[in-house]
Amino acid sequence: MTKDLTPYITAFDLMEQNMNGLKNSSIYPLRLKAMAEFEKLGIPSNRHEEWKYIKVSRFFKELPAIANPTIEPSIDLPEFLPSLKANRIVCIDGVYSEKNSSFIDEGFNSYFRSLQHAYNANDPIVFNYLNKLLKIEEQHFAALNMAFAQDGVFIHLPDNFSPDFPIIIVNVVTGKHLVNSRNLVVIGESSSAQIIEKVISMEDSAYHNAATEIYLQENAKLHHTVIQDERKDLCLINNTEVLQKRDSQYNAVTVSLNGSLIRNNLHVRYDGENCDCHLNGLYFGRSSDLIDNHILVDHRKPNCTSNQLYKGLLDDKSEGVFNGKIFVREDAQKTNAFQSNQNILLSDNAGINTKPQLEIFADDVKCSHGATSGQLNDEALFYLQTRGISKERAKALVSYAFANEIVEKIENESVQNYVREILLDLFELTL
Amino acid sequence: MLEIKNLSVSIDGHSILDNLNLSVKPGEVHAIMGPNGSGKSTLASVIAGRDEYDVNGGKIEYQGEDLLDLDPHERAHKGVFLAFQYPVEIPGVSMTNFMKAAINEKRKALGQDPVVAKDFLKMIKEKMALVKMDPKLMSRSLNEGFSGGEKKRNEILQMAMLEPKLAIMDETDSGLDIDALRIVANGVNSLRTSENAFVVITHYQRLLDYIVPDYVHILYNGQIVKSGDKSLALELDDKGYEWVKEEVNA
Amino acid sequence: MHDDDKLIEKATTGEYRYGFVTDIEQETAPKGLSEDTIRFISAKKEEPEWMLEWRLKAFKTWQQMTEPDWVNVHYPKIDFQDIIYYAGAKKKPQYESLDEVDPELLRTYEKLGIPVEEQKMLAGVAVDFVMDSESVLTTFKKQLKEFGVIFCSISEAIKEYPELIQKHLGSVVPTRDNYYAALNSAVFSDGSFVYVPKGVRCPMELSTYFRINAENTGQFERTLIIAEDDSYVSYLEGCTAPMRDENQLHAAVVELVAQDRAEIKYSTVQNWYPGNSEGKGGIYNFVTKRGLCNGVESKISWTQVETGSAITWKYPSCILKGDRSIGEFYSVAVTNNFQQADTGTKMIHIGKNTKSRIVSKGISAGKSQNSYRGLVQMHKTAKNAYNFSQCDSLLIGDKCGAHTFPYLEVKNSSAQVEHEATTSKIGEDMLFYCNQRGLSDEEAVNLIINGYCKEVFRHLPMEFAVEAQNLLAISLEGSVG
Repeated sequence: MTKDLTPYITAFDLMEQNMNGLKNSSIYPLRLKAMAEFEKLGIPSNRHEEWKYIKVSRFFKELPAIANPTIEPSIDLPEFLPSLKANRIVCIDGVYSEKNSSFIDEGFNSYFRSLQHAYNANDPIVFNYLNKLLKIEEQHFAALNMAFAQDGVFIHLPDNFSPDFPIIIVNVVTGKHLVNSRNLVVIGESSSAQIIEKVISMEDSAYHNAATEIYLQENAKLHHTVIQDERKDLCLINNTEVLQKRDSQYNAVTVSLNGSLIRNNLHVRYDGENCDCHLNGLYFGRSSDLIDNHILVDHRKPNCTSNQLYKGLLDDKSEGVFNGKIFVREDAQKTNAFQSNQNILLSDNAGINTKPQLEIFADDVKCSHGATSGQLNDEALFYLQTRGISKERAKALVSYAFANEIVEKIENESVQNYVREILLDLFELTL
Repeated sequence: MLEIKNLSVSIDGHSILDNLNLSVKPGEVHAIMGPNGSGKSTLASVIAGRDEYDVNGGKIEYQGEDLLDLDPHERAHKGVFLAFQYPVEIPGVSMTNFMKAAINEKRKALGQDPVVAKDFLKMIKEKMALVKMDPKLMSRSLNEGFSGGEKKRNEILQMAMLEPKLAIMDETDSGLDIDALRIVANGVNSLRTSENAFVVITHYQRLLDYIVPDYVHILYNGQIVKSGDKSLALELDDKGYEWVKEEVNA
Repeated sequence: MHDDDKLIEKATTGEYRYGFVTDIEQETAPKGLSEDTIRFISAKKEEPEWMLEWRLKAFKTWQQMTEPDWVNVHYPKIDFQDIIYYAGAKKKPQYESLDEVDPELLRTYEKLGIPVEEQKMLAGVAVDFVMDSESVLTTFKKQLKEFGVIFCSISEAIKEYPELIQKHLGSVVPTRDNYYAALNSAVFSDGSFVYVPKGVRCPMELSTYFRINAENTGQFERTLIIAEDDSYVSYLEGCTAPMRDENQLHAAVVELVAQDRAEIKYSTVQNWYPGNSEGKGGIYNFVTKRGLCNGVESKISWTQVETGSAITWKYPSCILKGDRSIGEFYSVAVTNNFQQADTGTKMIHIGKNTKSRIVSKGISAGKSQNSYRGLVQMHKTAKNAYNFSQCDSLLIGDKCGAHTFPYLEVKNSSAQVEHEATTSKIGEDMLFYCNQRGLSDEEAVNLIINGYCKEVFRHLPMEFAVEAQNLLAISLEGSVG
């Protein structure tokens, strides 16, 4: 079913007219191409295998307006992790806000720029990396993002350089519209960084479509935490593509605690030996939330390892989707790849659709995956009850412990505590 | 029976055994002791024919034949047995089937008919009693879910079943409590004859209280640096390996 | 010593042992598919009018459908007009006793190792032998009848037991279920029918041997098994075909119905011609098999050993409708050379306290692709339902692929689902351990693979288990040692 995309085509034309100066930029033909691809792809229907379990079309019955940030609105930005000493990058409706950003690291402007700044300068480096990992010919929302995202974050760490403090990227959505935000991250050889991402919505409903491309050069390391926790009617779509060179390591934790519709695509590709990644996720669905994680680890080179652990709690009428794929190419001998998806249904109206997949083309490999769905461990509940803890509280405690395994994977302790507090609050627990 | 001459072995370019010499005659028990990483397990593996090692020089003669020319299963047919330090688990393959296959392959190689089922069962029962193994383990998958002690006893059971001429025991005592150690040692002792020989690789003197060696060798840096009778093991127990290291390095 | 290249080179030497052709006079339908073809088949079989109507309706449905393309297998487009849809022996198609049987056919049984000489048989297995489009012989029919068990060709059943056929045919696999099921419904030629009345434990194993013999012919058999309350039946199915350079299509439909406390055990040893070592020829095996656990505490168990066919596309399934019903799927799928297999199961849990168990062992060698595709569905009504799945893949050589695509859909919080999968190769340390005990590489691998498949083999009836083990060794001959 192809939806009438006229409003977006009109919006695109309008944006083009307003961007006189940018027509000379190398970004311009890319945008045109992306729009053409999006017109072909449209909004995915659930007849598409990759969107089988998530009726995203339901949220796009009427196309949300595309945010058009001409002047920076003045907003009262809520605090996020105020106690954490960090470099803070704030984008409002997809546009970098210098006013709201703050940096501790001295050399910060040597490795951070806004994408718009880079586009305007026709910086060749940005075009070496931009849109090289996302596939706008196949990925509906990546195409939409490439067509409309005007600005974003460009972090390019030089070799042998590791910022002293974590980098927080906050994306603020100011209205009931669709924001296309974009990140481009390049971690230089033997450098390492910590990035924490979060979306804040100023209204009670909003759409956020993010596209992130991450390059890890040889021996680079990145800890990447994505926090999705706003208790609002949000539709969050995340496309993250990672390319790893030899000896690099990528650790990601995606925490989805709130949001009406969340779709996270996380694809990691190895382009060198001895790569390692740990992809962890926690999702907690309530009311009629839909939370969908699509993971792909593409082992293209030998002697690499990968680990996926996704845990889900689903309550009320919420539904979870896990689609994890391990791809081991012919040359990728001595691969060790593991994947586990564990789910607990807390309500009779909740549901989980999980599809862990292995596609193996090399023989000297060790790959395994497991998926489970069930209820909270009765033994554990009973044990706690014999110690005088009420059943309700026991349930909360066991759920919290189940979730905490993922929280512990977050690199930063302040972020861990931040997530724990939300969880305690959700389970009405005090510890 | 076994003549190892100037044997040098490496793995991935790292030298492990360096000009090693050892001579074992029928009826003898040799103990090989040495600190971690001295090359004890490598020696056992090379004799049995594990192919991840590169033999760079020297030779191993066994009953007048060049052992290095033979595939591992051919060595086994000729009576070489290795009791593994870490016996492998093989899911779905029962002890009975595994042992029957092993015995019949050996018999085939020797031009004998396959073993009669009845005789085989009688034999395995006898030998299981020898190592005090629970007969229930017979129908279980090989080593799968066996405790550490059961695995080691199983190695001795297989040794008893295959009646080797040269048995190499690679740290069979590691991870065994004193009772299990006694059972294993009794098993070995009852298999000793004037025709066969044992090479007992161990870290500790403890095992040698039960399996009394004719010779004790100390392996260090890929060479046998000291040989003696069983008193050497006691001395080692008393003084530790530092003493040997100092003497060698002096 | 364990030189992979050498192993793979030898992989091409494994030979198919059932590739001969029986020289028997046959009558065939003209090539191609139209309403006339269907009328021809129906007339040949002297079918009642309602059956012809049913077929024609299925044909119309099929014409509106498109060939599925989502499966993880690749093959050139099938020209459905280039297939012969009916081939039957010119002589009397169904023999009453062995004496009447064409000696050429008897030799065929012998070569296939099928026990047809009733007096010589110890185990007591009743056999229905289907060659191309016709059932040619069913043994032990009379003896079974004494117990009230009906075991005959489906053609015969359509004539003799129309009310049973009308009630059940297409009740588990509806005509429009999928492309090949629709095609089968239109043109199915023969197959077996089993009916076990209330309270009867079928006194012997029932089995059907399917044999494709004729050239350019598709085989479209249809099997229907009904087990009434408190009954039990164990049914075996074996398949072979001659070696030919052209691909031949086999699109069967199997329907099982188990009523209250009934149990059906369905075992398959599939050894259709897999094509040669260059991937030329072989059978396209596109099969729909489904069982309905209609009654409470009913049980359907599928066990399959798949070694043949160029392409296999097959998902024996269970619909667990009755409360406390049980579904099982045990599978060994071996692919070598250029074979492709996309196989697995569906367990649809509807009733309360239903249970299912899936054990799938895939072995890929040569340049083959082996996929497990499975669906476990826990409906809202399936309170306290339970599923356990174990899917293991073993790769032999580095030119083959193993794929696992499980779908778990859970809509019930009290349902428990556990899925585990592993992919591995035969460990060097395992091989060395066996070598040290005197086993050569080839023997060691045989032993290890049989151990790996043991959990499946032990669900096969004794005679079949032995056959399956031998088949496995033949299929992988050379590829592993």
